[in-house]
Amino acid sequence: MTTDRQTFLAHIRNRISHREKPELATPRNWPSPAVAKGSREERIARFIAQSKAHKATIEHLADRQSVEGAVCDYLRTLNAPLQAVAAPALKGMDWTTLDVAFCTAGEGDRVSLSEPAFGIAETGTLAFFSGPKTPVLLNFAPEIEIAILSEDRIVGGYEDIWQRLNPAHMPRAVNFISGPSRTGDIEQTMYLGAHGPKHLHIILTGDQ
Amino acid sequence: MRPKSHAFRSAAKDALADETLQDALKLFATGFPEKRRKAVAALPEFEALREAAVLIKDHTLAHLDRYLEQFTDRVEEAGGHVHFCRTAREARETVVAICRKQGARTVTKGKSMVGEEIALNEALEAAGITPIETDLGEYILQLAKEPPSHIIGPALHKTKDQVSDLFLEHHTPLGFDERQEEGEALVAEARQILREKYFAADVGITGANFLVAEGGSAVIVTNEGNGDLTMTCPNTHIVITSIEKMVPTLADMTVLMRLLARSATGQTMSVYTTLVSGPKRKDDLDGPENFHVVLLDGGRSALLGTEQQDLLRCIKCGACMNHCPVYGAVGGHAYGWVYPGPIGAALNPALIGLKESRHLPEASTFCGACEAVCPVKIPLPMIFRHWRNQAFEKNITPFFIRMTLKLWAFLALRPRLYRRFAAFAAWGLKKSPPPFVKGWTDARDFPKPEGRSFHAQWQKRGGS
Repeated sequence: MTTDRQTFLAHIRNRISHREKPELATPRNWPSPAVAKGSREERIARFIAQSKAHKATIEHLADRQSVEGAVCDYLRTLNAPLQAVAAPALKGMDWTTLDVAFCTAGEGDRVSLSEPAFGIAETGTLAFFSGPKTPVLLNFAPEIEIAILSEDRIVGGYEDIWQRLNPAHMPRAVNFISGPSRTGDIEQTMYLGAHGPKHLHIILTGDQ
Repeated sequence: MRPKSHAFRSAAKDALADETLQDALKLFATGFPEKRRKAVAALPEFEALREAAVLIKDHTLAHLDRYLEQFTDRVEEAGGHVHFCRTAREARETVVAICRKQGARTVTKGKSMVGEEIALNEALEAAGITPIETDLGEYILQLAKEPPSHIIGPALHKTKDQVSDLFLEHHTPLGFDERQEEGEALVAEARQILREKYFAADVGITGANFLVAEGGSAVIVTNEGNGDLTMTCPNTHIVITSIEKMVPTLADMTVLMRLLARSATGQTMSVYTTLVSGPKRKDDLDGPENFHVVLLDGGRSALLGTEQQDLLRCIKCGACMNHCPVYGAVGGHAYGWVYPGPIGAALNPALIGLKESRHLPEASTFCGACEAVCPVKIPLPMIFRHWRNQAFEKNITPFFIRMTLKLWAFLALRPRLYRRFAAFAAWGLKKSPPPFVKGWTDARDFPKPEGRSFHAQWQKRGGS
């Protein structure tokens, strides 16, 4: 039914054997956008601007103490219940008002709290690495996702992400997320909330 | 998908007369090109990235066996499986066998052009498995029983009104018996219906935009998030893709990623870009237990080592069709197979044969817009010329055209005779329009030749 690996590869080897074989330099030195290389302040400013351009909403707090209050206020503006599924990575924070379950998201969950590994200034993108403390479906199943990111996790560009991953041991999923879900499939008009979250709210926290 | 490219001429004629389609195409002509132009203007490094992309793809293709091996080793180390399929049939049978082994009854699907290429939905249905398309455009087409007409906006030929009718017809039995006319309400209805399907499906099938050899990773790009729900919720994830999607490293993939969304929709990034490398890890809280990559050759390896190998650099962004005057006039269905527009006109002869598809490379004004916007600089018009030559050499071009071309070649190789004939023809054309081209001259004026030929004037001025 399938062709065995050796036959398949031998066929391909045979097709290209007569061609010249250009080599590429290692490590790669490909052009990368100047906007991916800024100072800390520039990175934070660009991350915020680009996130907004993707129609994410973003709230900048001085520290982590006031996160729960901000989450509750945000949920009240959407008339959503004060109830969420959250990444186990967020267990260390204080949750008293909000009803939080630390698990992945299922079909009926409306709100999730997630913790991205990094924010990418270049494109205003959140980077998530899957793992026991950061389940993937938190980013896709609920209607409202609130991502909690600290300023010092904002890197310049994608190159900075690869430096922190070992290609021989990738997490099962690396998710780059730029704004809430959308579709342009009906007459090229953009509608938010196609299958993933309709609202992506980023809470950016300062150092303390 | 069974090719219908041989009927291009009549299909194109029908498309031009189809008012609904023409309305949809009018919207299309102003959308993507303008968005792309803005996105490219905002990235000064765009041209340098294009050049890097060409180097990366050429290198990968020259060492494709090596990278396929590295990719396979990595996927297997992570606990996944790679299946090698020379033909569409092998790929279909492999996917169906994996689904059967899982006892699958329903399968959710992300958008995959390779899936269309191998007619996967028909094969699943024949095996008693229900495929459910989850990309909104593909979902609309599944209801309408139509193939995609564009590689990134599969249902762009459909108007909102048509979608309203389709949803009313198919969703009434599910309890949605009100005709929705607002786009937002249509999207919400599809969201609600598909939501439970994601969680109930036994297998999720997606395509891949890129494969990264060093990470054993498949890269899946969507705006809707349907690809991620499709691959994460069920117990088994199958990636159906083709060999030329390979790149060596994450750094290399980044170059292509920076070109893809800008070229396709004018976004800096699509909303979701996911690198998936194998099945669920031991302590993960979600993700599939089984991970399979089905790798299709499907005629691509025949291009390796030939002058048309550049076609395998394609990253399927759709920019060529977004800028093509022929695609803009007739839409994607007229091309009669999975890949429409300039890339289809250049690639399809290699994948489904020139006999089936000889009209496609003819369907070009040679304006060169496709090559100018291609993020990986595929010389599309040159490849059209190659297929035209091949059609002539292999006697696929019809007799009348062959004879006309032969007559012209006979004259062109004999300068004196040619000049006399040209003078005679110019004299004739001043009297009446040329014969046999009424179809063209009915709607346009044929310019009358002016005075003497260029050659005669050049000589008179002392040129040599």
